[in-house]
Amino acid sequence: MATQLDPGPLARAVADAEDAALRERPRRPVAERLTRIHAAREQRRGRDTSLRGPIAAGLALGSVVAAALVWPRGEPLEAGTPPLAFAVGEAAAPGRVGEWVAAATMAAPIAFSDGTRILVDPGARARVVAVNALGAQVVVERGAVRADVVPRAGNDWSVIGGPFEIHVTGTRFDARWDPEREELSVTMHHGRVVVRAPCLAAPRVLGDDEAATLSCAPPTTAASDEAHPAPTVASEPGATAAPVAAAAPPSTASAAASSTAMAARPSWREIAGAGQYKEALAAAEAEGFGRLCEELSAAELMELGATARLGGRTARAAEAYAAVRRRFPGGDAAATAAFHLGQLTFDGAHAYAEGHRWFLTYLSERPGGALAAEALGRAMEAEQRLGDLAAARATATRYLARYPTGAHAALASSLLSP
Amino acid sequence: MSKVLRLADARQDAPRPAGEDAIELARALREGEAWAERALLEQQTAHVERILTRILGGRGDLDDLVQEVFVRAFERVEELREPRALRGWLTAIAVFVAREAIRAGKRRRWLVFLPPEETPELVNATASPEIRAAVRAFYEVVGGLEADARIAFTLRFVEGMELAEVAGACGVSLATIKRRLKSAEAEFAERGRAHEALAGWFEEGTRWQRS
Repeated sequence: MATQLDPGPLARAVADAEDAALRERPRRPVAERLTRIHAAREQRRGRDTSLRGPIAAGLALGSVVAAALVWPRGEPLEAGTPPLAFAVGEAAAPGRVGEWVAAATMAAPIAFSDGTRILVDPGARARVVAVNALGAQVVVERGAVRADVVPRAGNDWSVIGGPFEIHVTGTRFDARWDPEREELSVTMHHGRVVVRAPCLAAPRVLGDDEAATLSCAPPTTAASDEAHPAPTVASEPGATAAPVAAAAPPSTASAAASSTAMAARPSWREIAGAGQYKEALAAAEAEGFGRLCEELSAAELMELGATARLGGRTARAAEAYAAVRRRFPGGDAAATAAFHLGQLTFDGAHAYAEGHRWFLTYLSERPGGALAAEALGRAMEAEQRLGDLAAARATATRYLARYPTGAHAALASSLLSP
Repeated sequence: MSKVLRLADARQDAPRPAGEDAIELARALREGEAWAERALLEQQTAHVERILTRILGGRGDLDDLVQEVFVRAFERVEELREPRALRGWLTAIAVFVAREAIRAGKRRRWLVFLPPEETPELVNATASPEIRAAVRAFYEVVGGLEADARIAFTLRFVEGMELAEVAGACGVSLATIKRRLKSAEAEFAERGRAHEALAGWFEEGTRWQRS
């Protein structure tokens, strides 16, 4: 039972004065703070680990040290250093955060004030979405860029293509994002990058002269998908979701297993708990994915959806989230499922209109929810991609009023600037 | 007819208690998903700033301390056993960082002048001189308490946390926190009454009244 507390006038006065001061206190944007946090973590890892020799050829993982292996050439940053400036094109026009850079027949450079240079290939489209003193985030919508990042202690650069984020500290490499095939190709020339994505069980490290092609897209000839096609995800939020097919029979392979053998195997949840999402999803499908969608609790279905999403099976993830919304309408899980459906359709299928509807669905069901800021920012981004600039500007105004230092504040400001 | 959703229809509700959102957030944080890291900062920065300020008073290095809390949170997210307790878990990390800051400050006490980051900032410009003096004096007095006593005292009486919350944030039992608070309160009252700027606050009928 709560104890009634009367803190007294002194404690109340202290609290009120502090609250007023904190409200007025300016705060750095979320993107910048996140960059600083990651930079601090990288610096600690660099101090804690020891060098183990040169990077081996090929795509070896795991034992590679976390710190950059390139001696810094740039001067270390001092506290209070302003964000980097950047210029676009051969004419070196001042760059603006959020503005697309498209190269028609000649490559277009994005040149940063620290000497870092991102070259946007002909036919490619990219933009700077965040910039601070330590680096910048560059999104590649399609095509290839060549990045030449000046090494410096504390650097934090990211090149993003689809669901992939290439984290860079001081490197020269090419990156190509193919939105139709949902493939990221990375070719290293010098240095080291770390590639992260929701579908990767662990970050991928690429070093000198290495190359990789990565995709989170589901395979086009998956037998289980042919046998048990995922139901259509409801495209009209608020309407009854498309009926799920009758509980799908287990796959042939698992049907042959005895019940004793099945009981002895770890469950899909146990496998997912170990971070083996592809294997966990296979186990779930062996149990009968459709049946699970009809029988699991809301929390377990969300876990199944996350397992599918992290395992790169967006159709199965959508199926699980649709089941949550159909079976548990109005609850927290249903709202969160809407958010994830927005992510799947926006990031995975680039279906911006559908993604936009899902993000608005989340906001209508949970306007003050934990994901509200992200949902509002993504909705704004969808409106921009759909070319509805009037709606994007209106959303940008609301976003900045609620989240002036939010992760999408830079984009919102760019939409509202004349 | 399908429902047309408009952003303007979204109601401005008060923040909801942690639910499935928190479970999803914790899961995504463990996976290092960028949206979850952004969401955590969006949701919890104000709370972390407030906890640190309650314990330490105004600090010039508040941004650095807040950053330290989130660095440790991201590194230790695997230790978050109950996703719905995310805020309490983060509070405990903030308490740990504050305790380190207090002890680091005490190790520098041989310096004649306090390092700039420990010079308390003034409260907001609209606060009266009396309030500013009271806040400054309050933290001079609590600064004389032992670190754990100071933390328990400020979380309980300034932040207004329930006893169980304070115990959880400090990582001790309810019985321990009650003992700690009892001695901290007595020591604060004795020192506070002797402080010129606080004498008028210790009036009969209010908390810490003269006996």
